[in-house]
Amino acid sequence: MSCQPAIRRQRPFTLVLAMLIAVVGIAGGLSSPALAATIGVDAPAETTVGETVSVSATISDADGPIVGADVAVTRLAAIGGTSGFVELDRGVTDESGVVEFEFVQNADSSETAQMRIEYDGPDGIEAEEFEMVVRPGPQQRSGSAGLDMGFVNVGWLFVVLALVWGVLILAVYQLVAISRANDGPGQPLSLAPYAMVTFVLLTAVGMFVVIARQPTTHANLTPNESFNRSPDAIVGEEYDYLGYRDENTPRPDDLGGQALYVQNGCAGCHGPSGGGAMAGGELTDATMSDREEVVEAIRRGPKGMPTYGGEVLTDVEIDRMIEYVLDANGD
Amino acid sequence: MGEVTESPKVHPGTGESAWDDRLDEHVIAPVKRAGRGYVLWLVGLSAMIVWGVFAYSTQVRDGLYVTGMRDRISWGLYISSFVFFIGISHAGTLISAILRVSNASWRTPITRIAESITVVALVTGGLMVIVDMGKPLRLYQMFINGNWQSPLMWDMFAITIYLTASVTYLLVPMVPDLALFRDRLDGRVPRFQWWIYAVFSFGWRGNTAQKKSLTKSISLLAVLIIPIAVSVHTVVSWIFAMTLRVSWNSTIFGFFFVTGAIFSGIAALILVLAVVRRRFHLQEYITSVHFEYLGYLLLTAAMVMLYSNASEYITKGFHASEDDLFAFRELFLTEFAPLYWFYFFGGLVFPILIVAFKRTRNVIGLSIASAFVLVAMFIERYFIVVAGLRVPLMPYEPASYAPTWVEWSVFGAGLALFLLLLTLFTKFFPVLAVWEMKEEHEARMARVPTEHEAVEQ
Ligand code: HEC
Repeated sequence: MSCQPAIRRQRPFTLVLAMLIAVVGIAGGLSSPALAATIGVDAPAETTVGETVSVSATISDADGPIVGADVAVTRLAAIGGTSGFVELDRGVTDESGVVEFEFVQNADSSETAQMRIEYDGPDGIEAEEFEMVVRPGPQQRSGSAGLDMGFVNVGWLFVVLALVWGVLILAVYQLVAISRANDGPGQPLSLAPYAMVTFVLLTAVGMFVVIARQPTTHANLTPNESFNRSPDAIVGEEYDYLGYRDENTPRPDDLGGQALYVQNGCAGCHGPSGGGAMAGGELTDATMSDREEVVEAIRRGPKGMPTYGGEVLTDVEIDRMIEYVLDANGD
Repeated sequence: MGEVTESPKVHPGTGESAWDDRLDEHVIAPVKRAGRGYVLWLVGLSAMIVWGVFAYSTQVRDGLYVTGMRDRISWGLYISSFVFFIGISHAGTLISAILRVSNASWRTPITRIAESITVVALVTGGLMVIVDMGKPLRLYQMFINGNWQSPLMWDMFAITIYLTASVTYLLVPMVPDLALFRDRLDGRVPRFQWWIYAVFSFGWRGNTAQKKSLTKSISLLAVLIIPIAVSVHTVVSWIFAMTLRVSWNSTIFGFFFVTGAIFSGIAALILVLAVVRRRFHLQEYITSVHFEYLGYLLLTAAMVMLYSNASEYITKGFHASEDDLFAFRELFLTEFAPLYWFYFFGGLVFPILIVAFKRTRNVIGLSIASAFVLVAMFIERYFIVVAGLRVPLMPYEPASYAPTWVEWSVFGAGLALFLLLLTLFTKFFPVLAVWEMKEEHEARMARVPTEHEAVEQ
């Protein structure tokens, strides 16, 4: 009963267009029934992360229940800057127009899940929205968080490092003392020992700063009630990540732009279809205005992006990929 | 090895100052002399480094793709040599700090060289990791996006602290000797060189207050640097042991790495000492007794290594999983067997035999044994890294790895850099801890020789 979850991107433009048509249609006084179907939802108001949730929907129209309707339950999810409704389960209505769904709640516990029942009817998709409160639960898709011993924490790292650096600085400081106890002729660059103490001090402080300001990834190592992984999301068709390719790896030379984009790992950093994610920026018309610069960027790999040399991607493939990204994300 | 003078000749009553002066001259001599062979040696090393930099530039341009590393075997020669060099750096710690703390006075003439090996090996080893990162800018990412939960970050912290501490530990005991150079070489060396001696002797005049500060600093450092050094190689082992890899999944990995580090450190020290003492004619100070004692340390370390091997492999082999069996088969019988058995017999058993027999327990014998130990320990690092990564995590074909010319060139450059820095250090800085040797000499002169010492003379 469970299917491959899929994000359908919301296109504001299409929505506006649809609304326009609807307004024009109503204004034109077309005398058809306002909405083809009624969607009734029976869902728990509160859920827990990791819990298997049962939701049922009833689809009916003026003539009574619709039998054999294709219905899905979806949830609004965001990943790497893109958002859309992720399909959680899909089913077909029985003779009383009822469809039962089951899915594992994997929304972030900090949010109220925006849910939607989508009925794929003869007049296109009709949807009924509802909400679910998501409470923290056991984590999923990560190993256990380990033994939680409150007194074993990063504080001790600070203590040990402070101790070590303290002794080290004390030892270096003796050079200042030696220099000041000079009872003979003066020495050149008498500031040198002070500079050394300062340098060591700054290195120590730098180390503390690096620890203190670390980003919050790997949060699964620090048990945190509200933390959860983002849900899986696959954009449209599924492509395997191929790893680093070279001239010896056989590959079809007719891969489409999207396949190339996913298979070369761009999606990992720039988000599915270029919407931007943690590491790489958003790829839009604006950032990709100069074609030559874009090709150069892919070849050279700016600011931590890997380089994609000629053995990995041909010029033609890069072109195809850029077309795809512009098409999918450029507005 | 020519005529080898045993322990320093002591002539009671005929003037310590003569002994002192001769020592001064011996230590200062290298600074003033530069033969043709020396220049050739420098040119050769520099050429290797230039070639390595060129190879590295292709890597910066085209990415890590130019190495043999791929997604399944993602560490290779670079990381092996990183572990190797960091291991070598334990020479200074053991000889200098542990022996200083335990008051073993025979160490005095060899401490300086041991400490300089530490610093030079650390610099080289640190560079090897940066090379392994691919783009050097990724180092910056470690500062900006580093996570202290990651063993890689622990490694960075440990090595930063170790480098700072060991540079200090090299510099501080050298202050009085740099002052000696400052006083004795004024006007005899280029101005800038003299200026360096003058700056880094920090106005040392040898007065009581200064001696007090110096002693305090050295005692603090000697005690501090032992746990730091142990932590460094433990953490280096943890970047392996903390990942989910069959061959690295071991609780004695930290201990194993630290022992291996000390083992290879002693070997490096023996080899460097043999060369330095011959080149700079220091046979009077670095005697065959030193080699003998270092030989015993080498023997002990080799025994502990053998024991670690037994403990690690027998424990795992007794209830081996399928993955363990794959790893063992490759290590002991097929793919990596020549490497392993060379390491076992050439690097562990052979040195033990050399030290065990009196006939071979001399400078030449120990130098040969040390060379074997160094090669074997490098090989050990290599098969730990590569054989460990070769065990498939999922049912796929085991991947292969062979270093490319870029990796070999960069590795060669690393080795050349190590030797070059060491050469320059021994040329421009005092290779013996002169002031400490004088103090000890004085102390020895001040009391009646014991029967044992009298026999030695
Ligand atoms: C490891 C993460 C990563 C991967 C994989 C990656 N990129 Fe990038 N990319 C980056 C980063 C970081 C930047 C620099 C963003 C900035 O300028 O701040 C960047 C910049 C770019 C730019 C320049 C855009 C601009 O803002 O100037 C383009 C175009 C681009 N990437 C395309 C790609 C393509 C195509 C792929 C796949 C073949 C890819 N990237 C793979 C991280 C990555």
